[in-house]
Amino acid sequence: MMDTNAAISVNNLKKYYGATRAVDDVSFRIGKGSIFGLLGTNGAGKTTTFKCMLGLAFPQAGEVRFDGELLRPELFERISYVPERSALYEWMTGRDHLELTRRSFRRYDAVRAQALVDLFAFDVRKKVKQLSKGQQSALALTMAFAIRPDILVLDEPSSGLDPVHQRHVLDLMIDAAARGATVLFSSHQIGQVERAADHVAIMHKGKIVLAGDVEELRAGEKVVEATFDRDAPEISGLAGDPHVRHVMRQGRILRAYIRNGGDGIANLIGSAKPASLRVLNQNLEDIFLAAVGDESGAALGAARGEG
Amino acid sequence: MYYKEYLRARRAFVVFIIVAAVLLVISLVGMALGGGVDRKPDLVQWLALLGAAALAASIMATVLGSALAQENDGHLELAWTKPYSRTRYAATAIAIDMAAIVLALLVGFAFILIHIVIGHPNEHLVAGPDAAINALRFALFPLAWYALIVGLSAGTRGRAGVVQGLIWPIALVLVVLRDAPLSAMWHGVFVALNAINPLIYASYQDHGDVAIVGASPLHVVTSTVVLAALVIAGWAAATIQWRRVEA
Repeated sequence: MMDTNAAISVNNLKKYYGATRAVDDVSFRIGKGSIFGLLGTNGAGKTTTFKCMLGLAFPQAGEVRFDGELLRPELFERISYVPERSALYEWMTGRDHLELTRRSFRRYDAVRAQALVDLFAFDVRKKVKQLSKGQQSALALTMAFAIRPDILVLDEPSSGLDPVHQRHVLDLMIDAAARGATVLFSSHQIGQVERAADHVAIMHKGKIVLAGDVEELRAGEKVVEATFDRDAPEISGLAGDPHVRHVMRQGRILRAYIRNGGDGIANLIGSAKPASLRVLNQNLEDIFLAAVGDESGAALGAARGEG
Repeated sequence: MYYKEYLRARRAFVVFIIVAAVLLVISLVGMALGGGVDRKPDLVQWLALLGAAALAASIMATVLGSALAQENDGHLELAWTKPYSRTRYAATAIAIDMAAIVLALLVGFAFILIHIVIGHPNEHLVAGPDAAINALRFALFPLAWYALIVGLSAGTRGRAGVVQGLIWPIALVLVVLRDAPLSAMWHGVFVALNAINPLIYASYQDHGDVAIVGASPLHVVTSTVVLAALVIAGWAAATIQWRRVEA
């Protein structure tokens, strides 16, 4: 069903490469003026999702709408995309790229472009191959923001940028959203997502495993952490509890990631007589780690020689 | 609008002019050092000169032929997120390249004329047979060559260089094999393969004095029509393939 209030709506998107389900029935909607962070480990399917959304890859199924419309080339007058890997032409200068953008988009704002060049402080006279990775990212972002788009799709927009310019990118996104633009971005830096995004989705193995308002997620998600004086035991009924999203046991520590209903779970774990027991609020990083499952924890344990 | 295509074609064209100018200077200097200007009176058909210029322009066509394939190597995210359809983008890129190739043909022809005027002042230019249709045929040859390369490479990623590198030797070998004393079956195979070989349609003979590429039994009009068809077919094939590529 068409969602007229959504700047972006993605419905049942599927993209398979042979047996690999790169994007597996992904759906989400992003309201106008929202900043939506897409989190996921490497290979989770974020970039493929973006490519399918923007017609750069052909999905096997699904529908994507921008402001209620199916994608057509003319919509790119209002949509900016910054890919994860530089798509710039190595033999062209920064100025050439800005001129290319000016000639391609009616909404190009030369004054804003110059302000962005000044902000990121890169030399537009240099060829792209002479620019650092961070400067190339800055050029791509300048091109994207210079057309004052209504919708921004940014795949790892801070990649290669120094902390000062990373902050600038976040500020630009927040400013764009404040002016009514909708921003969809992915990042490995959860702190950035936490700072900028009002909504977040977590992708894992091609699926959206968790999505929602960042504040609501933080309020509802808690972790019960118990430390035992022996190896953490398996607790009957814990993993199967509907409030428990994920249980992680590492040596003497047991963590239960829960959503709503922390007291009951704490009592259940307390019955196993731990040496200490704490109920902690989760930050987005905890929520992310809980959502992507225990593989990373297991791998870490293996790397530490924990068996 | 398609600023990048313009820059790319301009870059190739500038290199073409520099190389052509260097070759002109070398030939004139060599002539001066090797006995001076050739003052023997003679006739030369300007169609032969145009044919030579067409061959030179087809070298530039080879360079430009990777236009769409180069986009496939990591630039589609930029190329395809502009407010234009892929078909329009491809059409414009190909049109700009073809304009540059025609320009190269004219410049190459001019450089050859300069060589004739300075190096062979007593040679008189005359029109060959069927001058107008032959001129059109030679103008179409580098465009057909470009269309063949862009048609073969538009769907590839990172392999345009292979097409560009092999197209000349393969085309030349096919011309030779067509006329080789082979069995009827193989002869038929090579005749069929040569149907899309632009070299076949660019032959030119001037009573044995000038032979650009082997003789063609085809009538010049037929050759011209086939070359025009190859231009259109290559253009269409390139566009269809490119529309199917994924970033």
